[in-house]
Amino acid sequence: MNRLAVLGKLTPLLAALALFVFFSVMHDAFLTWPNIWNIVRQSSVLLIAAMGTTFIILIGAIDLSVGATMTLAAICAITLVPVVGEAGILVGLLVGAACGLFNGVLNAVLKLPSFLVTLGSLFIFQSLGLIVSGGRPIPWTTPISSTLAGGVVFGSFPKIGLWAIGVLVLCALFAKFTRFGQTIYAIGDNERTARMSGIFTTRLKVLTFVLAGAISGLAGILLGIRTFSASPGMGDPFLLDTIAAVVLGGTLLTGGVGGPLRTVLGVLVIVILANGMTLLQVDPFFQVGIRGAVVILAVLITGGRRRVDEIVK
Amino acid sequence: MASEASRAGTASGGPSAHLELKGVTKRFGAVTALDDVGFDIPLGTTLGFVGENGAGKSTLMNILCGIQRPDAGTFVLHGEPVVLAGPRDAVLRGIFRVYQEQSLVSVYPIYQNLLLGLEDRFSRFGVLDRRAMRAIAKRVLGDLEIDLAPDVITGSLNFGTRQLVEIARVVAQSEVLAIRYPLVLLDEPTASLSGPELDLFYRIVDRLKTRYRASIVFVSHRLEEVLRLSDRIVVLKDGRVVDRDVSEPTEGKLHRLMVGRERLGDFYAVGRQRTSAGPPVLRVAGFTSDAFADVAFEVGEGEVVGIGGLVQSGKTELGLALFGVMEASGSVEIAGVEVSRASPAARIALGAGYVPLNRHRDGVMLGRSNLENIALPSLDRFSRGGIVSGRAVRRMAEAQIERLNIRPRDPDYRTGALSGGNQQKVVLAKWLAREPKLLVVDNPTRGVDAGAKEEIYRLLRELAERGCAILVISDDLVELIELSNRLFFLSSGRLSDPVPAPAEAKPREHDIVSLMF
Repeated sequence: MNRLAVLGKLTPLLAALALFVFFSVMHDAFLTWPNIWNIVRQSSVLLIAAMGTTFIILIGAIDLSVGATMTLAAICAITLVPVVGEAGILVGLLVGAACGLFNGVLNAVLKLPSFLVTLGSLFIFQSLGLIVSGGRPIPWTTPISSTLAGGVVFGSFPKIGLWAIGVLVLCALFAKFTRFGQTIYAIGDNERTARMSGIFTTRLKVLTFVLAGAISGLAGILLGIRTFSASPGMGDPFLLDTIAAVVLGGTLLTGGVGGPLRTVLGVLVIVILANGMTLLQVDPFFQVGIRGAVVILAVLITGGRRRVDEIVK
Repeated sequence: MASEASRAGTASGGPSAHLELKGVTKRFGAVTALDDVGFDIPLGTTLGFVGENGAGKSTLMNILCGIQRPDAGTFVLHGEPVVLAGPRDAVLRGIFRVYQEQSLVSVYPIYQNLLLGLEDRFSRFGVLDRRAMRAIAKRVLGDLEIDLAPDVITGSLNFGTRQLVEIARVVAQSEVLAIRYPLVLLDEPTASLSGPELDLFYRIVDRLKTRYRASIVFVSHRLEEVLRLSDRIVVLKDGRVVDRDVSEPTEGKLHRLMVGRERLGDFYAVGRQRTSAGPPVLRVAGFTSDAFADVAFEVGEGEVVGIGGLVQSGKTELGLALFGVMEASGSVEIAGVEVSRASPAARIALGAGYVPLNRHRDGVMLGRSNLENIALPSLDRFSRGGIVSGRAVRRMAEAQIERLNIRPRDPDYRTGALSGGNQQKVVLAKWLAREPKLLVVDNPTRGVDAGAKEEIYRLLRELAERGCAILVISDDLVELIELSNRLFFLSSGRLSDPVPAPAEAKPREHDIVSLMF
């Protein structure tokens, strides 16, 4: 491997470290335990949601309904708690998986482009969320689950961070060591070849969507626990942030290259940047634009697109 | 721009060398693709280039047509040193390349493709003068005796005809640019031509020389064709010219120069052909699709059966349908199990394997490693409870890489970075790892150099010796005859009667070629 390619792979890591050092120097409050726990809290839900998106992008598809799935799952979960007790929260996972199944069947079985399918389902899931919630925020008061995922452990480590780490480890192991994980890369690189090598590509693509949906459901539930409410629109900001995080980490939109361990770095860049800029009291009007510039810059460096004959669409 | 064009055309006094290369060197990182390469192309001659995969032929072609720049060396065109600024500059100087991978815009009508890149000469305020373009196209096609209307949409033509359009483009463009002496680079132009298309192709190449004063650089793996078309043959090996004008060339001599050793007397290992076949492994009856009708045949254990035919005869589709990738009706039995409704995965589970015609689309994952490619069809065998045993997979991949002599011998090497021949071996390794009972191979040695060809033929023999039934689909008639126990031809979707091809009495090419039509 040549030096440029190595540099490209390391870019997300270097960017995260550079931002970390930069903000540590620029503001005394940045490198303090309370702020670091803050960063953990802010990145946990995004990290989990981005894991699902990572798998979707690895098979060469896209999921625009991540945020809407999170919202719908959280609203359904909290709505069911008064009826069936706290175990009703688990329904959120099923709702997420069902959303994924819907996307997956339309994309893989009926062969509609994932961009269009999930654009449509984004609106449908949003609508369902509004209908179930009645358009109002629902307070999240569930003692057991809030103990499991809210508050801190080991003195001051946010429990939600443990969930994120757990999901990350599982996803990384899944991608690297399972047959399913390996076939996700095969499908992303060359779906025809995968099918002609005996891989049940249609089935596995549907399952990938189901898996990603369930992960989004979990992210929605944890977001509800963290913010003490489930409200229509709560997941919306996560759509663009998850895609940005996955791409920043170096997972290619064309599929087949990347993975969970790369996405972590993308998440950290986004969260550290937002956290640091807020500490430095950067004008919020500028903050969003700076984040966009960082995404473009990182992809520019990571991609290493130097071949003249490469065509990008 | 116009002055550059006319300069190429007005090289007065008729210099004897059309193009002269001296000391051309090109490196990619640590790899030296071309090392001090020098030769000249006399005006109006055909220069044949031969060499194994990786010998530097593609790099040389890229440099000749301005896609790549040499690190060192000079380039003398019509007696004048030049530096090509890019492919367009090369075209303006009268250097045209006919691509191996076709470079036509499939949604354009033929006339627009013939003048692709020269639209500025036919437009006023951005509006194309289509009438003038059509007129030129019509004249050029007529001159070359290509029976095509200029308005036909290029994408509707078959592969062989599109290749003819590519060549007609050279003539059309050199007329528009007023090039007196075009230099035409033909890069594996005949890889997918056969029968009448091939004859038409030879005629057109001849006409390029006699009528349009073209000099031609011809690169091909088909040695007999290089011998037939070339006035002079240059041999490349490992990026160096080993002979810039082979005297009294024969296939054997070229082979020795390219590979560095004698060609085996029994190139196709005919001596290892089995004389008797076991019970049928593949049994096909009433097999019908858009591309073929009512096909019926059997392939027995240890038998090699060949299927030939023209490019559009339906033979590739037959292979795809046998593997379950294309719709077809009728009966297909693999190892006694009816599979006509089954997925490729089910057929693979019964012991079938398929080496596709289109390697990059259907055969390999270009972005993944050799290990991942080789393991792909066998993941089920190396996993327990959904967890893949990385160590077992690696052992298996290393063994296959060793067995097939895949270079570099690195399981983690990206398959997309291998040469064509080595990529083909990776595809074979995928199936060999499963010890297949039935292997369908479509043009197993397309774009593969002579050394690797020998190895592939030996592998196929070895598989047959172990009882694997092999169905060879090929455009290479000689390969088909020499490999097969029996062969069939598809013509307009119908299968011929079998032609026996026992080792001691191989049918001759010209006796059976009529079956293709």
